[in-house]
Amino acid sequence: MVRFKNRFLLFHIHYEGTPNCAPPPIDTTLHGGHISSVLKESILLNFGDFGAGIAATSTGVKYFSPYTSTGIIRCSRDHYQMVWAALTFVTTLRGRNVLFRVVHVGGTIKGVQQEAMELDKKLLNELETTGVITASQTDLLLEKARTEIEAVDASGKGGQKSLHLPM
Amino acid sequence: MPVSSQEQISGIISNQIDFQSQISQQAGRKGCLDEFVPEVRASLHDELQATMSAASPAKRDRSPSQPSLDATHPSKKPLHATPTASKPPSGTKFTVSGFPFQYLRLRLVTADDHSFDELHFRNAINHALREAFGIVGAGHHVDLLKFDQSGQEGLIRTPYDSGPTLRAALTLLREYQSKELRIDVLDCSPYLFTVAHNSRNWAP
Repeated sequence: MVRFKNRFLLFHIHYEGTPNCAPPPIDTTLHGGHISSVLKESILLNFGDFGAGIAATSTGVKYFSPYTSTGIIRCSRDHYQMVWAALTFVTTLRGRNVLFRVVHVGGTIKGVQQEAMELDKKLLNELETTGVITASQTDLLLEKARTEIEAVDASGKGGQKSLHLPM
Repeated sequence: MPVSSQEQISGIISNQIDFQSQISQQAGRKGCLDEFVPEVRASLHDELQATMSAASPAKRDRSPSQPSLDATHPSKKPLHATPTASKPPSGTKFTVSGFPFQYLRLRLVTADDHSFDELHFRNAINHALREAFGIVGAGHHVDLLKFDQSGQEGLIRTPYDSGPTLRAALTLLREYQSKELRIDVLDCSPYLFTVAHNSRNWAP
């Protein structure tokens, strides 16, 4: 049986700071589909038809939270460095200047899930202390994050939109 | 090395020296190599001595049975005397390294027989790399060394490792500036003189 080996990239988005050094406004309409289309464009621009062909079927955004701006991308093991590089080359997202930082790379979904939950918890607590969201919202979001992260399936079924090149 | 095999080897070498001295004697009998026969035997003798001393410096005094060469050379030093310095066996040194460049001879063929100048030709190669392999692919270093506008033939150079990528990109190119075209690779070699001239096409 041929095993499809994956790599899961846990990433965090940094937005360009506002003039008053206030935390950037949260865009709650942002979802995994936006991330995957931006990633697909970056692969096509930087690695050409060859890169787009390799990455299309195996790359997908499995989880994304607009509150913490963190997400999980799944890609094949052989080309994860190309996907990582293309993600780093992304500079704008829906008109805002951004920086993608890959925080953790894992071969199994379990390790990445744990890291994702810890990162989300840390960031949500920061949001609570800076007063962007209330305590009750934090608990709700934590619960939501946990269910969504645990729903990420290693085999690729479920989760959010995967890369889909229009034919 | 165990002694027995050494003696075997020296036995084989001494047999060879006998054989070769016989041949040189025969050649000497024909009269043309008379003056060379002693030198040939002496040089073979020297080589045997050198390999023996290099292989086992401790076993010099236990030298195996020598061929009867010294009977014809009374002036030669006796074999049992230890040489003053062990001569390293002579050999040849090769240096092997990779190729720095790959040279390709290309021909541009357009559907409507349009003729491009060398700037457009170089740009078409860049376009091919960019389409197939993106910005990162277009970074592969390509030099245009020669271009013949009438025949639309060019000679390019690229680092050896970029060869397969460049060749794939050139194969996939099908249009440039809204003109249908293709690029044929006429010749490809790591040596420039191979692609520069072809003895089949050369006519004085």
